[in-house]
Amino acid sequence: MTAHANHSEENKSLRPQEGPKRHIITFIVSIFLTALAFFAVAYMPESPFVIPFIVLIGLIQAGFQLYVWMHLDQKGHEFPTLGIWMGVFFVAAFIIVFIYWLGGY
Amino acid sequence: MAGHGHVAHSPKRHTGLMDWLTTVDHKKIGILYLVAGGFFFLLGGLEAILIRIQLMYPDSKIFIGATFNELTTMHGTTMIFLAAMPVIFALMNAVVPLQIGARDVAFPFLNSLGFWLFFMGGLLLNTSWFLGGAPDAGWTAYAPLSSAFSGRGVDFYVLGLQIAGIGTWLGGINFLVTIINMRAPGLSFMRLPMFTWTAFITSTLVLFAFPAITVSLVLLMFDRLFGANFFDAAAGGNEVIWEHLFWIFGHPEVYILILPAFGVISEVMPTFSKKRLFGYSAMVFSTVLIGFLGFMVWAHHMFTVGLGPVANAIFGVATMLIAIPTGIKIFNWLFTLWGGHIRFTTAMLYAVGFIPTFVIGGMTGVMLAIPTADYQYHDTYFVIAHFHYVIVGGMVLGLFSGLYYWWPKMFGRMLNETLGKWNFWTFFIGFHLTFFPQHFLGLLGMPRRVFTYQAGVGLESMNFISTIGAFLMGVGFIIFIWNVIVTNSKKKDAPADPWDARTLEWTIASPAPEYNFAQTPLVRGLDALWTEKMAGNKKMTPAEPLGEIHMPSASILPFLMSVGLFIAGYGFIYHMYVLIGVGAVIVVSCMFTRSFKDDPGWHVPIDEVERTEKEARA
Repeated sequence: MTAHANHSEENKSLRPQEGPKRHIITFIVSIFLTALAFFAVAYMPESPFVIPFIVLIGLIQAGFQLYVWMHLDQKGHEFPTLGIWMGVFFVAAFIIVFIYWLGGY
Repeated sequence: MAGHGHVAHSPKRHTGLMDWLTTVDHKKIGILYLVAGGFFFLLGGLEAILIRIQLMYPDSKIFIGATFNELTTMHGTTMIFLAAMPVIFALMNAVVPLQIGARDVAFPFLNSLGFWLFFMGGLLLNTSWFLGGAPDAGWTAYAPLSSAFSGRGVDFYVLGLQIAGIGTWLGGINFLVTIINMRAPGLSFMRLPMFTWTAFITSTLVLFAFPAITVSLVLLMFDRLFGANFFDAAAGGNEVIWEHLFWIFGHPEVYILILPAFGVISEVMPTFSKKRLFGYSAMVFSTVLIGFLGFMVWAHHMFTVGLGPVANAIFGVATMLIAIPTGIKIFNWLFTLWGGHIRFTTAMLYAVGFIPTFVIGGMTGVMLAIPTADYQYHDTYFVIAHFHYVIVGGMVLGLFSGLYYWWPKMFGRMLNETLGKWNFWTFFIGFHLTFFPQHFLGLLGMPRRVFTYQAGVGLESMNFISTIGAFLMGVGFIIFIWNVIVTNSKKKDAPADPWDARTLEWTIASPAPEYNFAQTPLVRGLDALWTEKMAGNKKMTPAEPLGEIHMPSASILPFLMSVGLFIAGYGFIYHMYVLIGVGAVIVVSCMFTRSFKDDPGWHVPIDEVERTEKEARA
């Protein structure tokens, strides 16, 4: 409807060093982390650390996805960032309560 | 953006029923929400009166057993999901885009879809009355009663609320995006009118709370329809998980309901006191804080489940914390009134009546937040009295206030003030007659959801008074309906600014033209219109030249999509896979059409804008 799209602001938010470099680096690191996950399962199937380890590298990859590939680190993404972290906070609270006080047993 | 690139094709304008089915105009969708919500409010109110008739005398046998369970379940479900939510969305649709100087919401198509999904979900739920019995497991539908020991009615509850819930969720997202992105130039967040602020926080709560009910309804659906065991303790499930998930949704839901009422009161009080809102920034802060804390207190509905003293203490204290931001609000409203030039219009009467009533509800809320005391109150009429004081005494009084205040902007006609005052006093006195005695009924031990009580244990007189009060509330609502009919038969003569008000929606004609603002206004202070009035200006400074206005196209797809889900809903309930298929095909082909058919919208030409504006001023 109304012309609220602010083109000059969008241009400003593109940093000068912005290029394919960060994408390539995170892509390679992500592949490396995925490979690590396969190795962990293949060589230490009995270890209790395998699942926490895979969850951890999964979180790192999710961070790459959000902040590098989906541009969450750029200007104008304050509300999505706030929303995501608020959701994470709420869900963390729910999980803590579920773990300790689910009740009914 | 407007006017470049696209060739303005001739506007396709529908009339009559087709116009209402296809409209994407937020003002018309607001009216649709109001009519549908009003209809369901009438149904829920009728159910309430029937409940009170059964409880008028001890040992009555009018509506007993399953029928009484159906009445209480459908009263609660209808009032919360199908009456309160849509009337809130009615006001948000009618007011928020106008208050922020926008021409529509961010996603007009989604807005229409949200309405029709809610409506079809509500319809599906209510058809259960004619198809073998309504849901009867309480509006909270606790498992395993709802999962293993209830009839087909609960399937209607699950599918109906699921469809309606998708609609509400879409509405919430839409208003978030609208308020973030479509504010007029100069309208910073700390200049937003309070109603828009509360709409914003309410939408955030919708965004985060509704996924929880979606998940719990999916689990219940799988347990009931496909033989899953989420709530079957014998098979390794856990029925308490339903209570957690339901209240993770259910507690934010009560703030979803009350915050817009707070917003209405914060608009009505300054206007009719002729003062700016006292402590605007504290009001904003307390709204945000209430929204945040609302997510951290759900287990106070579960004190008697046996979570243990640590959980009960944490959730009890967290609950009491909410009294602080709420108290800030109450005092700010009182200070707004203080020394003001007060006009007691009907809207103001409702706003003033709201304060003591809501404070009583808040006070009993803090009483209920004490876990040890809650063991006494739990599942008694004390709880019923408490939440009716906050929901009816808080939200409904607030919504009535808002309806009387914004009626001229929505419909171009002023509601009759004399009838309005009759409406207020009958409803207000009826409300207190109904629910005040219920506190004491609860303390005497009368349990909720039980269809009768014995004579000679001291419950007769207060139950009788309560039923009389319910009749009086019914009379009050009928006077409101009468007022609407009387008003509707007169000509549209409401001025643009009938209340000498302060915010942007009063700068344009009543009712607002299709495009709202001929020119986007420039906002130069809190209470944008009042700022200009104080500067001696007759109208807002425009922020753009007059030009042709880009409008979204009307579409029948949202209605068809909702019909598709409605049909699929019956398919799930009756295990008729053909119906599920038919519904799914309708929904998916509508989505396909929406995605691949390019729709550039249409333009209102300049001369039509000028003509409309001239007619409005004449």
